[in-house]
Amino acid sequence: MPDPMLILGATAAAGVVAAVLMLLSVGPARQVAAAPSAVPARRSALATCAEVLAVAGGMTIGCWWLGIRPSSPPVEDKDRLLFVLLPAAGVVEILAAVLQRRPWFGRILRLLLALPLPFLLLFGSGWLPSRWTPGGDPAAPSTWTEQEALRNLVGLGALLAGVWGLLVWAAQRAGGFVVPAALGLISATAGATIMLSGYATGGMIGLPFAGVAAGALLVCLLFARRHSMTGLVGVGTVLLFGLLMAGEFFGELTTTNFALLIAAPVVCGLIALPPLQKLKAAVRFVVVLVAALVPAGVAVGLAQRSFAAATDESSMYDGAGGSDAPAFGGTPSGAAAPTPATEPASSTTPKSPGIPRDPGADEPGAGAGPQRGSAPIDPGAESKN
Amino acid sequence: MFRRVCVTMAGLALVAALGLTSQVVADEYAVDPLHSGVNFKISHLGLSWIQGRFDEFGGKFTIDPSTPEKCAFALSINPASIDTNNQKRDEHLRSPDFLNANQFPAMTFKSTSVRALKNGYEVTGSFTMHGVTKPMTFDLIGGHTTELPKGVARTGFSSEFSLKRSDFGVGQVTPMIGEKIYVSVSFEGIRK
Repeated sequence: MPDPMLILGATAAAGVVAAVLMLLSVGPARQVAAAPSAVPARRSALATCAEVLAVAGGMTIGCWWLGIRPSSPPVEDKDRLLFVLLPAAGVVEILAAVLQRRPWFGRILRLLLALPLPFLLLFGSGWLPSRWTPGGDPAAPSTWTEQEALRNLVGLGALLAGVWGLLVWAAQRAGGFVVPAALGLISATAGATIMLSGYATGGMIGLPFAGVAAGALLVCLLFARRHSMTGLVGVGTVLLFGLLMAGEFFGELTTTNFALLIAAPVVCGLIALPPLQKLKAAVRFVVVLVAALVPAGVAVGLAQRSFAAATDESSMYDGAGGSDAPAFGGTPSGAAAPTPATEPASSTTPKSPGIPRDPGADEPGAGAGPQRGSAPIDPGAESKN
Repeated sequence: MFRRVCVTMAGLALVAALGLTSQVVADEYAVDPLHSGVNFKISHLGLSWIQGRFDEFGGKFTIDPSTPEKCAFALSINPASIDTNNQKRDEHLRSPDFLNANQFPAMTFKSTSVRALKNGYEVTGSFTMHGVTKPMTFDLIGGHTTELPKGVARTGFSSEFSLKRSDFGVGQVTPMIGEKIYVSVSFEGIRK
């Protein structure tokens, strides 16, 4: 597992950056609010822009701190999530805030992003039929048939749309900070669960968001109490869903844990229930937050148990005495300084065939890219002797 | 009259035979997985080699002895078929920490140019692994042909080369596992 201090540092850095970016918007937001013709939509859009910017800045610094460097153009799921889908979610929330007098517009935008999102995350993978990938080999096998893929992708998209809509509604209806707070904590828990489920670099993405949520919440608590933080909630929901999909389809996140972690933020919808509305704000906050964290806690507990069992099994074989990467060596930490392994001697032609390479000999630095090896023995020459 | 017809037919037959021999058609082959192998080794702690192979692969190639530039080679390997004789290690290698086999279900090579060598071909092409494509050149040694069973033409080649994990984003650099992967490929093709 990655260094806990590294994770704490990344989370804290993300929180600080998010808080600073939110603070920068407090002044302009107050000016807009105080204007004689204050338009709630402008205030809301400005605040949502600030949140989206805070998430972008915090996640950027947090991922950088953890050594996560998405590729451009996007190659794998986390590249598409960080470069394409989270920014798209931010744009959707800003547009929804600008046109808040037409709430159906925001719902349609969220649906339009939610439905294709699972396909974009799984694009090019072995789950989808090869025919769906440009340049793919039509004869190559895939895990799902075309019918299964269509059904599963639509189902996942609908699930995301439902959860997203529910959380935004809960945040707007109940106000307060329980939904963004719960989302921040659940993202961190989901990240940890996914890291324990065989996808360390993917799970780490969830951790800086906890810092972002904390930093943004602190600023809102001090300066903008009545804001619903739908920008942070919307982007956070897409991030959480993307993480869970990555863990389920590319890591070893179990379906049970996927369900628990997607159910956790849904519990936040309870906040809108009339019996809870009668409680004091602080009590309501604690009750709903604890209720939301229970399934998340169960998920990480189950993942930890599986991880511990897998590590014990592998250390019995490998003799690594608790190595936390089963059987093959340490799971690399996110920003570990690279220490090149020693390599065999460079490929001068062996003086006689059959001399094995020394795995411990140094190899002079070679250029990038694959390199030719020594000439293999021609099986045709062998058979003639 | 009869003699004239015979001479004419013989002449036509001769012309046809000359026409056929002047057009040497390139032979297309499909890789025979039963008599082919993709093996690799990688340093472990600088102490020994971890040996492994990929059990599922396929491909095709075209050989034109008279025009080597028209030869072409294509190979596709299923990274999920990695086998290092240890189930836990293989699962780890398939995971996103290394090959990410679910996300990148195929490693492929496609040639872009071929040059004849004394005992084979020098092949240049693009190799894609873990979503990253890099140019690659290696020597294919062999090219002997035979028929087995009768009527089924075969040929075969072998090659060795190395590549760096970091060039393709496979795993992170760590002292436990070597950065270079030494690959040995040997394949037979059955002419279509």
